[in-house]
Amino acid sequence: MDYLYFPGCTLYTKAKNLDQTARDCSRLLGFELKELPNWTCCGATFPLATDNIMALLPPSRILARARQEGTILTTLCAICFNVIKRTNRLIQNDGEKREKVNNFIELNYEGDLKILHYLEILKQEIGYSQVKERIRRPLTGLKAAAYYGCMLLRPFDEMGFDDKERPTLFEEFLESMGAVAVDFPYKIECCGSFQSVGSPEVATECSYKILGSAVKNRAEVVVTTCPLCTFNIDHKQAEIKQSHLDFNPIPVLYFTQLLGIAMGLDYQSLGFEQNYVDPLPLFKKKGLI
Amino acid sequence: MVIGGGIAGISASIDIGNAGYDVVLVEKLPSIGGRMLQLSETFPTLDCAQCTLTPKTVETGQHPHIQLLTYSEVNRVEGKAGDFTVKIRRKAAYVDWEKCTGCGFCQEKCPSKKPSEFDRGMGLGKAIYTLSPQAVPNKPVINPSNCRYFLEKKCRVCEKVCPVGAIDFEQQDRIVEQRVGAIIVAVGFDLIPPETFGEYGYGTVPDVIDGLAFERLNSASGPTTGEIRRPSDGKVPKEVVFIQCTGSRDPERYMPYCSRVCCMYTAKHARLYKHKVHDGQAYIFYMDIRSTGKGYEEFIQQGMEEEGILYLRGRVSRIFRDGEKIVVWGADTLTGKKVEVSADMVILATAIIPQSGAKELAQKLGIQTDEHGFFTEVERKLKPMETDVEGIYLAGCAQGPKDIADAVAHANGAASKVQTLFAKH
Repeated sequence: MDYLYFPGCTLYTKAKNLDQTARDCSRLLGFELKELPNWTCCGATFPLATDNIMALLPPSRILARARQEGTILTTLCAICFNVIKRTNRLIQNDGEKREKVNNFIELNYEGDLKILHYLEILKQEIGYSQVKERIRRPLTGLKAAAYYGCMLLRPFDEMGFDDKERPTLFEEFLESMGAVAVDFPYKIECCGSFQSVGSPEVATECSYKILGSAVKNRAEVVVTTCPLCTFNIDHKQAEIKQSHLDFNPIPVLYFTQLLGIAMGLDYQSLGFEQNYVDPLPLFKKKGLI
Repeated sequence: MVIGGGIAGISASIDIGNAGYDVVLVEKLPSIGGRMLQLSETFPTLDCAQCTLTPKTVETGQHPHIQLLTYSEVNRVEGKAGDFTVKIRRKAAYVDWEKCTGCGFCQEKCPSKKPSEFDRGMGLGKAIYTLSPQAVPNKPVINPSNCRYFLEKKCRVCEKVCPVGAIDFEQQDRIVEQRVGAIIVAVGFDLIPPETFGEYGYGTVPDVIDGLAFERLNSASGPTTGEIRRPSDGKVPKEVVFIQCTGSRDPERYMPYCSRVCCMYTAKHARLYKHKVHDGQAYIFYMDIRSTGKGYEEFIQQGMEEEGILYLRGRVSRIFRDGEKIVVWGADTLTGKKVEVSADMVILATAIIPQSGAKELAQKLGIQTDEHGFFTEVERKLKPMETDVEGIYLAGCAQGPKDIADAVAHANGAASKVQTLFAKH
């Protein structure tokens, strides 16, 4: 079965490696990510003001168009996922908003799409046992820390992604590839998010704590799903190093890049040049390439 | 008939018995005493719970008008005020209580040791057990899920050591019938499982415990014989964090109501801790302090002013282990700052919730429970003990959270309602 796929802007730019590896892994797992035609920006934030209908229009338009193509929509970027899933839920449950939004976008959408993150597709639709069967290079002994960030999980009632305070879905995924999932207290803490624009030192500090906590719990690699988290905790490692002399950079990878390695994809095709720390030495040490 | 042998059920039974009416006291555990039996000292007087309770349990056990049916549950209820017929299931104790003298040899020799539920999993209990050394009745029961004979078909050590041959592995549950004129429901409360709060790490961080477990740590009869030692490594904790309103007053996620006892028992815990660990520091995270009983506010003030307990107004967002320490992230909303405490032990003041079987029992009795499962009184202000059904009354925490003094007052009220009913007919 193929899945409708909304990439989102970042996956065409800073997070190309997330997009490409997800598409490649899907093929190996026996399904295709069918990109939505004519998609637009998701809006990037879910409106906090209850009467801000304008901000609901971009995600609603995406949803309405996607519904014409199928019944399940998947995304990779945690922020797009958050905005789209929450908008979908709102349209489903709030008749007044639904009517207003539909009048604006001149489409009729009832909120009846199922929104699944790519990780959920792997777990619920494909099954981690199936993923496990396709693993060619088990990540045996690789200590990997699953970093959820906020957007996959919060607000808990609306996202319903996994256990609200102690999620394990991501760790189970790492274990299905043979890795050792490292539990660390900062796994669902904020990366600093958009603070990296206005107060970069705030985001740097958050990232330092997250990576430091993962390393303290013996992680060799930190695995992410979100391009913004990755920007903060991976690409800012140079800045962290400047403000914290004790800091040693660590590979931060998208989950699909790690899946690519485990499924035997060519190292060259996984877009590691976009990551701050080249994981090659680590993979060599672990005998993975 | 009184259902529930906690302090409320005991108080009601003694009152009615003293008035000359016969009482059947049904208790699901092997002995009476209820939650109070698990407590160490009680607020605001800091006197020993066992010392106040034991004379009551003994009086109940020896009372000429009270018949104890412990290790029993109500199966079926029929009839009306003045003439109820009740079927009671007496659970198989695998011990013939008629023969048993309560000598305790069986418990001493029993080789099966499992974490004890009574000690909140911190101490070890035997497969053949009584709840406490002062149990009333002082007769043991065998827990088949821990017993080597039931699990592996070998052992029978208790049978060999019993001097009067009271062990009976063939015993079955049996149903007895009683005719009673009135019923008092005093089934008490339970606590919200601390595993509910993923952010607090209960179950993954061994030194995060709940309030009832801290009572056991403080008790002379508890797993540490009253010394404050943390479960993970037996060390004396030097910094202890208490978290009030764990699951209470949280309408969005857990229980919307106030559990009414946590402010006071947390203050008591912190003070007991300071009495035993003089160089220790106690921190209490709170939302408000509700100390409305007689002598309660003074008790809190004394803790703050004379014993140096640090009160922080705010909630805790996360607790995790960092080496030997436990990191507690919280907010102090009075200074508007984030707080991080590096603690040795954390105690959660978990919300009071109804007994799990409350709804089922309500159905059997034909009375109502509220949206949470507490039994509903017929009128909030003027008829706090009466139910929709004439002849059935409520006592204690079965109706809603109460402290000991209020539960006893409620039970005394219910007992007087029964006497009034009987006097009329």
